[in-house]
Amino acid sequence: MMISFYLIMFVLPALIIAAVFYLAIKDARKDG
Amino acid sequence: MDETPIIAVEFDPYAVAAFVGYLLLLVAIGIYSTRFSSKGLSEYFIGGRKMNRFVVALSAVVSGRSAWLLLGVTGMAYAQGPSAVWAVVGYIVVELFLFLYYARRLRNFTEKRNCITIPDFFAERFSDRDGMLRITIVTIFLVFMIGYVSAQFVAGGKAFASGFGMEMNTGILLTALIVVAYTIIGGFLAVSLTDMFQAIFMILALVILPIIAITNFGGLPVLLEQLASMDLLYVDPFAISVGAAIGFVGIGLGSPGNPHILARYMSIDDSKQLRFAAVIGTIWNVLMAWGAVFIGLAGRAYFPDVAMLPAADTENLFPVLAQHHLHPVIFGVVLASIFAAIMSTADSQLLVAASSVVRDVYEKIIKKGEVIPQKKLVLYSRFIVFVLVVISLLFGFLAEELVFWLVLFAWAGLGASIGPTSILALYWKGTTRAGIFAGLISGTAVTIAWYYIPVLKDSMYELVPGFIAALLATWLVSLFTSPASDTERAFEDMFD
Repeated sequence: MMISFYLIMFVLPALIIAAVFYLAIKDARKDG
Repeated sequence: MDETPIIAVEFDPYAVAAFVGYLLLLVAIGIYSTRFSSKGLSEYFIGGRKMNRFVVALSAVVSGRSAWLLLGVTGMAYAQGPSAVWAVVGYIVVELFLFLYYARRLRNFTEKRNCITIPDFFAERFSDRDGMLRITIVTIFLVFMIGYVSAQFVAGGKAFASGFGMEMNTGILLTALIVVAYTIIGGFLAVSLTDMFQAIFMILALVILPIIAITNFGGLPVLLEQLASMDLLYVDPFAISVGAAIGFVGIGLGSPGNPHILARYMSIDDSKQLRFAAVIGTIWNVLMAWGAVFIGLAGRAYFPDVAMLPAADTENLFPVLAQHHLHPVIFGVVLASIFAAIMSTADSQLLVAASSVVRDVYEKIIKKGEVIPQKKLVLYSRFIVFVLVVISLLFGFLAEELVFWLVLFAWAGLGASIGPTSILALYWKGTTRAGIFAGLISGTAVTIAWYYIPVLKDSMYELVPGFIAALLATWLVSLFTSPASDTERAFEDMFD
């Protein structure tokens, strides 16, 4: 139970932020 | 139950001073923006497409978050624990993709075709010569937007009543006066700049409060232990039915259909900068949303019984918890953040509604083909903003039931009608004008019908089936009708 709490409350937001950085950098590279 | 101590929000001179300082800042921004916004319609309604990436990121994010985030999500997390997080995940992910992909096409196309409003975009994309498509979308906008603005004023009135002990109607009037003061004179620039400051107020409140409240409780492990001993629901993020979870995540489907959010994307100075806006906007969205959920969890540990909250209302948790843990000046900032959430939504919606009247109805239909001086159009726009505020106030005072009804469907209705149709208009060359009509009508109809059939309503949030119905209707009708003749060129205009 506590593991899922920490995953959803800390890991999930970190993953979303990591994803936006990844996609934004990928997009910037595509534009050169 | 009678012995439960009821916590009240108390009137505090420091908080009032901080709050008044915030109001003065809003008016100063309005005055600062007046000259720029008076230049023309494009400047007044989309900041002349000269907004920088930081302003666009924050403005887009907070325009979409009304007091629902500060009062509603905190209350939801208080009532049902960390599963409330699913109500915020959907819109955060959807807006991430909107910033990165959808917004860029919309921004490029609307600049190249000189579109100022969303009805403008649809009219250009589908060669709407008789103006019927434009009129249909404007009608949908006005109906929902006036209800939406009205509801924001009522929410402001409630916040004044609970925060400062003011009469509810006086509070409604004061909220409208503050919004109108900077929106009329300062237009889009004032609205965007005030949104930026309001975003800062909101994030300060939503990040600082849970950290302090949890630390004062003895730290997160102690808090979680306490919550788990009360009910495992308060520590289990999966304590939610599948239907409810899909409905929660589906809230995000509303973002591409709400024109006050889309106008922000159209206003950026360089479409390539939208990826920077995506990063800033997403970080902001994540911090605010998770902060709101943590506030709800901390609140449950401090006030185990809902009867301890004023009026036994979970929506009062946020100001109450803030007053008990923060310095009065910071508490003033928290109170300001509630108004910030309300005003940043109302001002953006007002401008979108006014732009539909002046640009789409007056300039493009009534005075079609005529050249009208830009300064005259700005003057008319200011007058229309004022008229819309008066109508919204009248609705708020006299037709509370109707307002409630309109607001119920505003996010979902706009999301289900404009969202899927605009996505297909930007991404599928086969989309036709008839398909768009089918999507607009079916999205709105399914949303409303779903809500009124109890079995369906209980199973899922009406936006999800409404969105799917509009997507299918647009696709199906488009298959049997012909796309506009300049579709290829329209798609070329969507790229840099």
